[in-house]
Amino acid sequence: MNCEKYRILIEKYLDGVMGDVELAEFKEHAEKCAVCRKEFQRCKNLQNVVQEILSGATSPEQARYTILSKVTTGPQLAASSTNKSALGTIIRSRITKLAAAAVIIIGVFLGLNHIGGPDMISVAWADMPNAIKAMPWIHGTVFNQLKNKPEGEFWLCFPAQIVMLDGCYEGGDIGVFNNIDRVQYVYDANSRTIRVSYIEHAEQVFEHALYPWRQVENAIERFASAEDRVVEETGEYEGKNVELYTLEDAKDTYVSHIFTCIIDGESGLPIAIEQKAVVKKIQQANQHWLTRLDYPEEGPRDIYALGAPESAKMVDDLPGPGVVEVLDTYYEYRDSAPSRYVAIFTESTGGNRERLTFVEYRDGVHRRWELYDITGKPGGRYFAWDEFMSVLKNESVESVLRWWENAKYKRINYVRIYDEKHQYAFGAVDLEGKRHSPRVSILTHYRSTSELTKLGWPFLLYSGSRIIEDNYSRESNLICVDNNNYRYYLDPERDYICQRVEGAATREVIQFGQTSSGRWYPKAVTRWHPTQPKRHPVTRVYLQDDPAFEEGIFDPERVYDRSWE
Amino acid sequence: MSENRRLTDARDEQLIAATLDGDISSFGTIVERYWNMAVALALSKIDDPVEAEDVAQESLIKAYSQLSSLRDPSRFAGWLSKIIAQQCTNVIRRKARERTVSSCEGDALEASASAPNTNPKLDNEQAHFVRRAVRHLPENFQKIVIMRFVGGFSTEQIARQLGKRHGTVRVWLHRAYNSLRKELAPLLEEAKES
Repeated sequence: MNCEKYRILIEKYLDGVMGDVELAEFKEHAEKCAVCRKEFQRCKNLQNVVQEILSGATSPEQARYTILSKVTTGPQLAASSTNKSALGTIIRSRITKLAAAAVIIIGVFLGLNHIGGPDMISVAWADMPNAIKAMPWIHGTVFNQLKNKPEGEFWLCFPAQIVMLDGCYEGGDIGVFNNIDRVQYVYDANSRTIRVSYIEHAEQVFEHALYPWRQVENAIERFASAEDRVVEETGEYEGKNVELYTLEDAKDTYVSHIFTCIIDGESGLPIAIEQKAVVKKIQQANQHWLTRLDYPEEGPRDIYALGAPESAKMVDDLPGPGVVEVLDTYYEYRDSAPSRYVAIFTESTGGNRERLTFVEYRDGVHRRWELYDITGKPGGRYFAWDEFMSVLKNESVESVLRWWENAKYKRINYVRIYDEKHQYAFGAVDLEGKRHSPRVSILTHYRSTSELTKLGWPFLLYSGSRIIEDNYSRESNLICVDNNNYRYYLDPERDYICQRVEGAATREVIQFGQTSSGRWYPKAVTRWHPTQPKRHPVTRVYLQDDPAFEEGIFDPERVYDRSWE
Repeated sequence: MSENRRLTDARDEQLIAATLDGDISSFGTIVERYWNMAVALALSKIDDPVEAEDVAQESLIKAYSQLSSLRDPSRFAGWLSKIIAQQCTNVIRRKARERTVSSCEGDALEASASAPNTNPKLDNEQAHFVRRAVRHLPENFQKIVIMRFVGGFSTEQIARQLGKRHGTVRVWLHRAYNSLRKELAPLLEEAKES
């Protein structure tokens, strides 16, 4: 068998440039040819082994949270960076007082007797999170069994929306979050400072502080969803009648998750939850946590009661006068920005380099985002682009989309579909040549921001912001919000659109549009950078509001029904 | 991993421009995109995975703080890899200084063998074996192997990121691949069987 051609294809795979047609062709050949099959497998194995062995324990999503929390509170753009070890702060959190309190519960249970009485209170798994949340305070300690060390301690008061964390909070060693006053105190042991700032967005900051609680809640949810597989025992623990529940969840074939929960027979509430993930092949745990819970009447008074030293320097980063009112209004407008539309976004880079186009469909709940490449060179480098632009100038968005359907010189690169909770990302062709397996991820607040919102209503921080007046804001009658790194100019006459942002670069809305219902939106936005004063790229928005959507356009199952090429 | 890269949408240039315009979430997307590559680059030089993650994190924070000095945003990955290399050098120097102060530490190889392995599929010895094989590659090869296998870049993209000729990058990658194949042959046979 002549395998030379297929060896070249393996090389292409190694280079990362193997197309789906070639892959299909190769697979067909590999079914018959053991030599090529082996060679290809070896190449894949090597890649996998290197990738696996050089990977860290922190996921990209976790890293995103950690780094964003650092850069929003730490280094300034274009300023010198911190030389503090950020992850080190998390890992070396000061939680020594917990070390003494940590007990490995597994050992305790070895002597468990089956003596439980019939009078124990029984709270259904599904109701348990609410029963716990109704308690005045929840106190938990988290112990990492693998590292054999305590990870942190948390105090939660759901009625007053207060979370206090010691060691569990990655933005600092100790944190106190009051979601009603929207104030957070974070103690950083390295700089010995307590930073007082505003809780920007409860759905991010407060939710993030609730992380240890979410772990408890998730474990309980697992019990609730697999009740028929839960093994129940009763016994005695620390002089109390308890119930011990175990669940082995082995849905994932690679790792099995084992949950153990000890419920206090008197209150019906959990007093310890253990979570363990075991890699089946090697029968070794790669995660093993123990959370102990109790329900005191009162929690710590303040951050000092949690262990922050009285001598720590207090840094006030609360918003200046008037900021909360202005930004609350700004966010109201941001939340009610046009949300039912089809919009075409074009982007020129100011020079003659590349031009991008993407289309966004929004029906108020769902969002579909398509990135196009305009290809084709007959009669000139940007032949197809010019044709596209001429259609765009003279006709409606709908006509352009029709033109698009038949255009020869365009290619869809990516499609993303969003529902309220998920993002589905589709690539034109993946490495294996598959087209029907989108990458699905849970939506965060950041990702769900629409393109139009990003252009007109960027994400602003309350903390450290002040309302000021400068020449530009006076002349243009705008509200200027100054946030150390950036200056934002909001236009109260046009739905609080952020007309200009000055930071390391400057961005400005140079043209405004209005929907048929009178809502404003940014129609053309330019930006420039001090190091590239000649390049002024412009993003233009061509928007059609309240359109009739093609059936199934927001359905991830039907994404490949439409033409991609 | 390659798939992840292909499926992400906005280009680096767009994300960087948006970050400079004040959209911090765009930098979050950059972090997600390059986190694995950054950790891998650090792990190719530093034994301790925790320290390597520290370096990756510090490098990304440094990249953020100096983003406006990046001349060509389409070469962000190449620029980031240089920052990581510099940060790694700093850590290695600092460690060397510490070692001269406390002489009771073991040698680098021992430290490496005892470094915790964050990967559950391979045992510590195998992990050490792979790391050592990668570390034995010339520095340029290491970078390309990681950008290709972990970062998911094609050789063309790597060439663009590093400002090298495509042919050069291909040759380097293929040499690195052959060298790793030889060194890791026993392990690969095992992986194949599983």
